[in-house]
Amino acid sequence: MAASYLPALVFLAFAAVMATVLLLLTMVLGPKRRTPIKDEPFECGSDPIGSPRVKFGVKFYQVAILFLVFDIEVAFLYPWASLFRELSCTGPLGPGGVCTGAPTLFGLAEMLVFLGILVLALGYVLRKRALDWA
Amino acid sequence: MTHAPFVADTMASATLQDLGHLAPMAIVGLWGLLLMATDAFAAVGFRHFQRRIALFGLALAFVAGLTIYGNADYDGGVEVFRGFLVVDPFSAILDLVLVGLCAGTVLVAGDYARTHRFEYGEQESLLCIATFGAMMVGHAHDLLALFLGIETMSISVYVLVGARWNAKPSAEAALKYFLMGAFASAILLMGIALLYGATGATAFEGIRGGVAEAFTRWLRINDLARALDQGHTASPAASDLVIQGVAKAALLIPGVLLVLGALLFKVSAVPMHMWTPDAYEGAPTPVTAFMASVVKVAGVAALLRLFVATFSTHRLVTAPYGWTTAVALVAFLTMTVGNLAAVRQSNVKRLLAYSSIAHVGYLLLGVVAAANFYGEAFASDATLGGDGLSWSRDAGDTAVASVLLYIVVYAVASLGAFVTVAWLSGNKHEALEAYQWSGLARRHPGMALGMTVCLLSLMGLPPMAGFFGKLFLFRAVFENSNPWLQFLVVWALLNAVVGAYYYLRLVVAMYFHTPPKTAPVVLPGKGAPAVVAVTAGLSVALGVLMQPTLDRADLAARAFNYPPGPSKARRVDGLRAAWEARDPTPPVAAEEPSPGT
Repeated sequence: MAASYLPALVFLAFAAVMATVLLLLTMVLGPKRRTPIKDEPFECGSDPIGSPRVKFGVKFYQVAILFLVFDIEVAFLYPWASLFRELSCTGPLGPGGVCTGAPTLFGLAEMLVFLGILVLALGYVLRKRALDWA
Repeated sequence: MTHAPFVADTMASATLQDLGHLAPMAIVGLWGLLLMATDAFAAVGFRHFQRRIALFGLALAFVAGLTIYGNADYDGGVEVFRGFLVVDPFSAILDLVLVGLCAGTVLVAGDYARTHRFEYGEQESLLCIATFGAMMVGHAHDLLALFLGIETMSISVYVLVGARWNAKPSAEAALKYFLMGAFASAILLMGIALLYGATGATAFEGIRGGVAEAFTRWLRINDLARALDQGHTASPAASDLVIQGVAKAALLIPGVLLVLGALLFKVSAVPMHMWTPDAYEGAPTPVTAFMASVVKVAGVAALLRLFVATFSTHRLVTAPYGWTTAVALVAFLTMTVGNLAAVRQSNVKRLLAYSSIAHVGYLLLGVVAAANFYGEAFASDATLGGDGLSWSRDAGDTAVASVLLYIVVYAVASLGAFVTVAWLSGNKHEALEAYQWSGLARRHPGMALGMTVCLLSLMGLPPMAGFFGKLFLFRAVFENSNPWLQFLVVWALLNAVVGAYYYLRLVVAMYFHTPPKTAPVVLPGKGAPAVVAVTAGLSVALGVLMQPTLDRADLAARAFNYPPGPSKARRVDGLRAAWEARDPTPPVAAEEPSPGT
């Protein structure tokens, strides 16, 4: 029972080691050319010191909203991918995930409809120049 | 190597079949996407065709809706997408109404935007998508479908409200509406989460079962207490059951109230009405017309589908845990505040906004009455077994039918009134003050007549549909044995008298005041006059031909709180058969003496 959690532990350990090593490597190897601007606390392109009531570009929101839409699209792809075998088979799945019925394009078609709508949205966004920063 | 052939397995064919059942809704949604594509990708000059494309799609959806509307196969309700949505006579009527209201808005919105110099290509697309959401609410058979529909509709409407970029009130209205609406959505979602926690279901049928179970277990606490008093020891399993019931009810009741609050916000009932006058005033007037018609219809449909049909088990509608007392109080406040505030308005748009609030107050009375009747029927089912009190069930159906009738009649008249306001704004300023309407009948007799008919229908003057809407609604409520509800009917009648004052003031200004020196400039194009002609015509026709109209509403509301299935189909078919076997003399307006008036 406890052994089944071993991969998770290995994963955690690997993540910790990886993060530490990468951070250390950047500290040691990275070139250090300090400028006043670089030393400022980072805040997504806006001036961190001053009145909080500054106007800033509505484009930030635009990009963030578009990012959200297409990010969530990916979140929907995961459950679909994990069920793809079931969705592509007219019968129940046999041992080892082998399809006992005939193959079908149902699962693919469903996702293509979903992605088609999103591609339409992407085309709309590009055409309306919502991604041009200038 | 050849590709695997497409095997029409059950899921794929079921999906296509379901889309067929949902044809009107699917077409409107598809047209929303299509219009977005044509706006973005078609050549620049093509934009003038947006309106025609939209109207073509809506006509197609209307025809598809007609094939479903008359079809007895849907009498028992057909569950689609595994019970996520349902297609039944009620949703069939709503589909037709919503598509019609959307077409009315599309006819005016383009001209208005061009005149006011904020023309944009997405308008028709957004209207279609919002209507798609409203139609989904009408079909909802699952809390998530309800939420999805409300959100699809609301988000599109937020954009439509704020689309008039060259006027500050529009942005202000959009921000207010959006912030409040986002809160309401969050509250709705919280309520849905609690309901799911209490019942373990999001489908309406599952919730109904879960509600009954929670209360049954909870109320066993009396048995348990008695057993303990008599010196018995309760088995751990028995006390566990009771405790589970208590815990479930403790989630259930706040869940019901949260969802109720959110839906009351959407229909702008007092005290959740604060956004309404500002949002209605700031929005481009065709969008205001859309909000006062399509959005209101969807909100009332949600209340009917969820509260009247699902949350109408006896315990949930009667004191001390019932929601109907709260809604009756809200109805009282809504009609009083709406009417009294409307009296004080000189701005026509705000006046109509407050009047729309007042109408919601009347409608909520019908909602309460219907739920009370269904609750009685439910209780008698439980005690008598089997079919219980059929009178209560029939009375519940009648109350739902009168709410449906009222909201349709209201939406049609409201669309007409707001479109007239939109039409009177040809020189980039809207004639919103009452004096600007002075003598309109002399300059534009047709439009003044149309506006008058719509206003009289809203007011409830006899030959118009609005009178019969009020008559049947108040009669259905008055049938209730609850003296408080009967008092509220009397109060509503007094309110209707107050309403007459501010509607007639506008009519008097149009007909009896001398026109100002400068003639008001009106919107170009035939869209607005056509819409006003049709809505005014319908306001008269639905009144004159009230009996067939009422028959259709009765059919749509028959067995409203039944789950889809053969028993529902039997009841609806029974009514249809009785209706068809009736004497086929040409129907005239049924002048029945009303007990309330």
